Amino acid sequence: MSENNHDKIKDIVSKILLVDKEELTEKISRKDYEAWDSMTHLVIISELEQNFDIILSDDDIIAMNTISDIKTILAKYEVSF
Amino acid sequence: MNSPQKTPLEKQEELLKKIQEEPSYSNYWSIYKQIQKIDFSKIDVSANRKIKIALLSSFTIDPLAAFLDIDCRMEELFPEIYVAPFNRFQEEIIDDKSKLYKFKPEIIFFFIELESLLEENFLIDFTRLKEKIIVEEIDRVVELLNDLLAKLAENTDSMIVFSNFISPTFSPMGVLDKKREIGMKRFYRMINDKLETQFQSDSTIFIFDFDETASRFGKDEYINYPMYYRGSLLLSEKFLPAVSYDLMSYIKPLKGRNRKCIVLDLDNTLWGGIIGEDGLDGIKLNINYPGNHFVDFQKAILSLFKRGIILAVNSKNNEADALEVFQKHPYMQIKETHLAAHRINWNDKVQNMIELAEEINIGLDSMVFFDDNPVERARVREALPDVKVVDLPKSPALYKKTLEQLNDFNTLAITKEDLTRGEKYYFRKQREGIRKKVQSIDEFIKTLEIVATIKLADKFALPRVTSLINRTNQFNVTTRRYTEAQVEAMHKKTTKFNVYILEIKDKFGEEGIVGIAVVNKENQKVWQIDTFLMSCRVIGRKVETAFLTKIINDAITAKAQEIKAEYIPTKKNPLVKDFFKDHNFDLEEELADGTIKWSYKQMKKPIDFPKYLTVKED
Repeated sequence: MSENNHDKIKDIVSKILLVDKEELTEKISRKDYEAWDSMTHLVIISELEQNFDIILSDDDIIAMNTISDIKTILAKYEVSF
Repeated sequence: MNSPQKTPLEKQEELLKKIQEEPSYSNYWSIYKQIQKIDFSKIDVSANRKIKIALLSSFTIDPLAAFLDIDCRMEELFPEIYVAPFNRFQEEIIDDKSKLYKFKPEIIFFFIELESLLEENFLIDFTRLKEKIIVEEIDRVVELLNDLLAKLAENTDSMIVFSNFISPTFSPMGVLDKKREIGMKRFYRMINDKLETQFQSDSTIFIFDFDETASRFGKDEYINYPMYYRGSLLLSEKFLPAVSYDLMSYIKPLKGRNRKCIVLDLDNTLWGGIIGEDGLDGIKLNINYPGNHFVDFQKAILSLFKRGIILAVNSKNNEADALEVFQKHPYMQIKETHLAAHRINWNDKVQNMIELAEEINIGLDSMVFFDDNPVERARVREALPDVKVVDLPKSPALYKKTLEQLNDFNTLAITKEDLTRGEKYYFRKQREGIRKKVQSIDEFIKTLEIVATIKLADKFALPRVTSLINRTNQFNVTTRRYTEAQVEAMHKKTTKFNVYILEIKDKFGEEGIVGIAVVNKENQKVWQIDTFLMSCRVIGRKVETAFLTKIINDAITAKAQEIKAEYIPTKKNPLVKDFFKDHNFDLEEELADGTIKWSYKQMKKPIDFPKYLTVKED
């Protein structure tokens, strides 16, 4: 199960950022990754919400800069890793 | 991700395949972005395959571009899409040097939320407003839109598709909304109605019934509220495919990708059952269940015929049997006079399809094919990718719905001339190409992954054996009927009779027992084929050859010296007149009643099964 959710996130983000899943490290950050612009960020948010059936708060969205941020925040919504 | 040796088109095809496998939002977005990176500049694309689309909107509409782009590419178009900055439509329209006009779109899709045009507090105060004020607001909005659209039409040559307003499901008046002179919902409907009237005879401005698209999808679900508040992303990601699908109704005819002809199979498509087996009285076609499925489906087809869609038939049947239904069946809605052409025979449907296109003088890319049989569909789809092959659901209850949901039959008055120009030359050229491309029937059979199991019937199979013996008319060399008791008796006398069954399965699933043969081997030296029959739905796939081969080889193994067979003609079985001749039997005698006696004596060594299918014996 936990493997799955980690994978699901990587799947979504890698698809939307057009990065190979293997190259998508926990460290790739929205701040220095050009393709991760505001529209792309919204698409990522929308897919996370749909796939995990949650609605993220404004603070959460601003704080999501890396894959590990996403995991930390989703954990608050009882998504297990 | 991209290997250098692939051509841009191969790369695109690979990406589009992924969408078909998993049409999720993230896939659409991702693949849209990846396709944008492919360099198509060296590819020679004709003008009628290119399309420039502009999206104007009062809300963020970028994600729609992803869906629209990919849907166009699935139609073999090469789109270029301009998305105007959100809520800047007024500036884009008024400034005649705007990016919108520089882009030179062929078609502009224009979406506005009505709320953004209304006077402040208008909806809040709605229930307290006098009717006169509401009417004035309606007129003001319609005039404003009229001005904007007129300006837009003045500054471009493009087709303009304006989306009407999605009427709300909420009214502060609740059930009393309908008791007012102008309730809130009627207010929306009145504006939509006025717009529709206003542009009825305009040849460049079209009103798109966005309200209907939303209703069909579900008004409770079409807005993604969190995304709307965050980024003005009004339309939910699940709704976007439906929007894109409906917008394609405009793009297809604009680019000559609309279809003009419906090609129909007959058995289990236009009526229930098989005419060659069930007969005129036996097929299901009337106003009661289950014949009503087919009557209704035919009516829906006829309604399209009346708006100018051409009808044709491509069916495996005896022509006379099938035409009799058109001529005599009281519940047949489609008559012979509705058909532009028909091919009712036992030939390959691909060949029939090419002939129909030639006879009607239209392109294969104008045809939509309806057939209940997935194998026939796969064959046509594979050999003639230009023909649109509809995935007809298994249940005939869904036939009409499937037909009505197609967005392929639209025409736009403005492109009539464009569509006919040079058409003949283009189509002729294209057809010559097809001939060469068509895969041979053997290659096709190989792709079906057919497994034929041939064995002696066990007692559980006997009811099916009896049923096939008494029902099969067309592929039946002797048409001998036996009762269940007679079948059982033959089955038990294993020294005298071999009762064979043939089971088929292919990549589309199991067909079950589809062939029966009874061989009389009382005279051990001379085997006599008493009965040999097949269900029509599997013929033409070499399984009949495999079935006969098994009998020949069994006779050889048993040291018989000759196999005798007969063809006894009936009105229904001319299909098998040459069956034994085609399988190297020698003509022995032709009787006055038309019965032909055949003999096979090449009993030295067993013969090979057809190589493109797997045969299991036990």
